[in-house]
Amino acid sequence: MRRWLFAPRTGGFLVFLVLAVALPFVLPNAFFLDVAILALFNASICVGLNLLIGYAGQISLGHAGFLGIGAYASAILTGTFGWPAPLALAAGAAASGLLAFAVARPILRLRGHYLAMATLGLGVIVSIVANTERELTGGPDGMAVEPLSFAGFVVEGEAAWYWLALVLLAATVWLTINLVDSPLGRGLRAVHGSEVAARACGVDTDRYKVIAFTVSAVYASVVGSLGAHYVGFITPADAGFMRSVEYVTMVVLGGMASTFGAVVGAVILTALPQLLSSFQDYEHLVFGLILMLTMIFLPRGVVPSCAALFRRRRAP
Amino acid sequence: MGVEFLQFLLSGLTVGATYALVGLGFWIIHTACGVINFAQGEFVMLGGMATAAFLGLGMPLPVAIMLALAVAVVAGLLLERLAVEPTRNGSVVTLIIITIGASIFFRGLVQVVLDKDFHPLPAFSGEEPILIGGAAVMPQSLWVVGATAAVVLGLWLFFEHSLHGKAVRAAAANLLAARLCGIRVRFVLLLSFGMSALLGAIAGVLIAPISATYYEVGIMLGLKGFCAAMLGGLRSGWGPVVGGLVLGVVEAMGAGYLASAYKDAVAFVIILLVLMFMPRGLLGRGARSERV
Amino acid sequence: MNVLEVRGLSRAFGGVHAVRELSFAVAEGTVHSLIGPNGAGKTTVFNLISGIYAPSAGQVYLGGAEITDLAAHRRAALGLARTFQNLQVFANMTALENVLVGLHMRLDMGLLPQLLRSPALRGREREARAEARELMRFAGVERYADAFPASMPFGALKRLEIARAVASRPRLLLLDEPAAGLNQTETEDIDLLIRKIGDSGVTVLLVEHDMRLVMKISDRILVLDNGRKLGEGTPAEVRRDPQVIAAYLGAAALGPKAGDIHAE
Ligand SMILES: Nc1ncnc2c1ncn2[C@@H]1O[C@H](COP(=O)(O)OP(=O)(O)OP(=O)(O)O)[C@@H](O)[C@H]1O
Ligand SMILES: [Mg+2]
Repeated sequence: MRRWLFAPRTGGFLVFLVLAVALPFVLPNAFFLDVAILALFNASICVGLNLLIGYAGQISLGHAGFLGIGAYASAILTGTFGWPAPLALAAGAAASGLLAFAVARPILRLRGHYLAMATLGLGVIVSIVANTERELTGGPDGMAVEPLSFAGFVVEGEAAWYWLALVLLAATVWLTINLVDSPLGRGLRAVHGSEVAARACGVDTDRYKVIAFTVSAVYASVVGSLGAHYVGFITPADAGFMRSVEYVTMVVLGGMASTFGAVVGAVILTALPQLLSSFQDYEHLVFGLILMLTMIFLPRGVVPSCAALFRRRRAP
Repeated sequence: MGVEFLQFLLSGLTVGATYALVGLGFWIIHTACGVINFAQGEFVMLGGMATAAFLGLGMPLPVAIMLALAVAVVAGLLLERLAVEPTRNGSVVTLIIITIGASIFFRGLVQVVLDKDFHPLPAFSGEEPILIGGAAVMPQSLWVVGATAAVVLGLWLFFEHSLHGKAVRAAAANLLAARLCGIRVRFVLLLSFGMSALLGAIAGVLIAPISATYYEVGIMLGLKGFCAAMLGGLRSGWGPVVGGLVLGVVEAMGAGYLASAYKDAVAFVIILLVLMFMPRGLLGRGARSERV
Repeated sequence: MNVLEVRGLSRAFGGVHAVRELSFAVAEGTVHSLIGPNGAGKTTVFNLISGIYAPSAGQVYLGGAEITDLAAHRRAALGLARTFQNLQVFANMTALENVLVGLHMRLDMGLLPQLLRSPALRGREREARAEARELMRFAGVERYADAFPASMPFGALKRLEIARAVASRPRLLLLDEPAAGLNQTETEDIDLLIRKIGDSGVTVLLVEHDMRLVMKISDRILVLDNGRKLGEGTPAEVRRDPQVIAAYLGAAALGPKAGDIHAE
């Protein structure tokens, strides 16, 4: 029991669960709960994205595109065509998955800045389509999204959404922690460590990269659908370049190749702009500054840097 | 074919020239230290916005332009010294995030110090269109293309024939060897950031009379410049120039003959196709296979 | 029986002909060495055999089956393993996990059991970890099991790569300069390790500049110069071959202290 409790895998997960379950009871009002829900959704996306960036070592600057595909699929299919929400969500996920799968092989042959450019282009194209196809998407003004309902049951109110988002994140974290420590997860990390060595060890690196890319894309799409239902409104900016950058920043700021780092990064960067909004016009200035300072002084990310500090304290 | 085609070609070359300038900014910094500077577009924005601001203070256009270029260069130097230099050995992703942070910071700064409005600059020499083969050309377009050609020529002379230029290329080829030869690598870095800020700002000043400038104008221009650099390849300075011009022309043709609503998408579709099917860029060897 | 056979293998990089019309065979259960001056094309031969590069001409056979067009990971599955001249350890994983990647092919299973960490997977993981520790002990690096490569000495990293390569239970092991950069004692340890590997039935193809090690350990030696085969035979034959002496070994190599021809 003790070992189970103190193993980073299980123990860390437990701490996270306790904190998250206690949170709604200490938050002063609905505004904070709203921020918390958004943070949970973002954290789910980042945990999935971290699989690709942190573990497999492949950058994506276009992930919001997949999020947008999910969000718009849900909005359009439920709103305009009257599909049931789960079916719309699945359709969006399938579309994202197919797109990701189709482009993954040629794109993931690229490295570094070339990969950054290709993924960036993919995301930007999605947001331009959303901007342009006014009749379907409402263009730059965005469109309303119906509440999430299924078989007569409607998810309503902040509390319900909080628990939904939490269950989703908890499941994601749990599955990811398992995956990272499995043969498949080690294969992914080996791709990051040295692609040639991974291949020489029998890892089908191309396939693994495709899997990581597709899984994280499908994942972003699903969360995009849910998030759209929750917020009730989407715009092309939700699929845009800056949004993609935000997700990557969350992952890197929290700490690459650390599942809890991705969660922490998402929470910080979701809450920060809300807190900074009291600075009004200075918001962007302060945000950019914080981003640069964190990366200069904690280049490995918040969680790994703090963990290293903690270890150094304990071991004299 | 005919007049319409010529019209699209000329406007494509104009826009393409600005992409080329922005792309060259990416290339210089990438050559000197392997970093892709995502704040490159903000230098473009700074050039245009600062010119507009100095004009607003009642300065004559040439003075305002000179001061604006100086502002952008200072911004570039500060970015290198304060944010890039301390993380020289960071990973690619870390540096990407830092330069993105810088771009958000610059936008925030301009938004606070100046404003969020659109500012059209006055054209340098009037708005009377000139007819070339039946196609109407704004004098400003000639300024853009001419200034770009001058900049490219200047850069070529600098990199091929000046000692500093050779130092930058040497540092790019082999950092350690360059250091052993007595090249001050820190100076090279500073120089490259200053130069690419200057290029970006020149592009910003040139294009502002054609499409008004505002605090977010650098986002799309920066991305297009990055496209141009990647399209032509980063191995030589000709890459971004060719890439930029090709991109500008194809974009103008696409918007003219196909769907103008998708004008902005053209660049990204092209770059995706090129990267997927010619991963080495138009001018040769981009993504090298790793050597073990 | 030949484990490996190479026929007319060539590869050029731009104008550089790194390997030209090379043919040779490696018999089962032997230690076969590939020697030659810097830039002779030894590493390129390894890259061609293991599928990192595609040849411009020629064929490669493993255990009689042609593998010339097979992807690198498929070759690994057929029993080919290698180490790298410039270390290619996974810096983002612990030493033990590095070795576990070597066991990868025997562990991979469906996605679902891995996501859910099924009992079957847990059992196999436990066994795999025990086996990986055993392999680390075999290579003499067991005390670094939970260390990250950044904190390990160079010599230990070289052995870690060998442990990782052996983990897949290969038929043929390619070792690219396992003793490069090691001191005298470390080199002797590597010598012992290679012998142990050879004794366990694994065929070894070795690239090494340390002539004393090569002469002591090899059953056969192939001399490469400028991408071409210059000579081949037992250590005694190669030592006598006038062409080899002229081109590569030099008179000094024949003396008693002929150890290191390493030119760095
Ligand atoms: N990926 C590559 N791209 C271009 N040239 C290459 C590549 N790999 C090898 N070469 C060239 O092929 C030739 C043979 O190189 P190789 O690395 O095979 O030599 P080697 O015998 O292993 O030398 P060393 O003893 O120094 O390791 C050299 O001229 C080298 O420059
Ligand atoms: Mg070699």
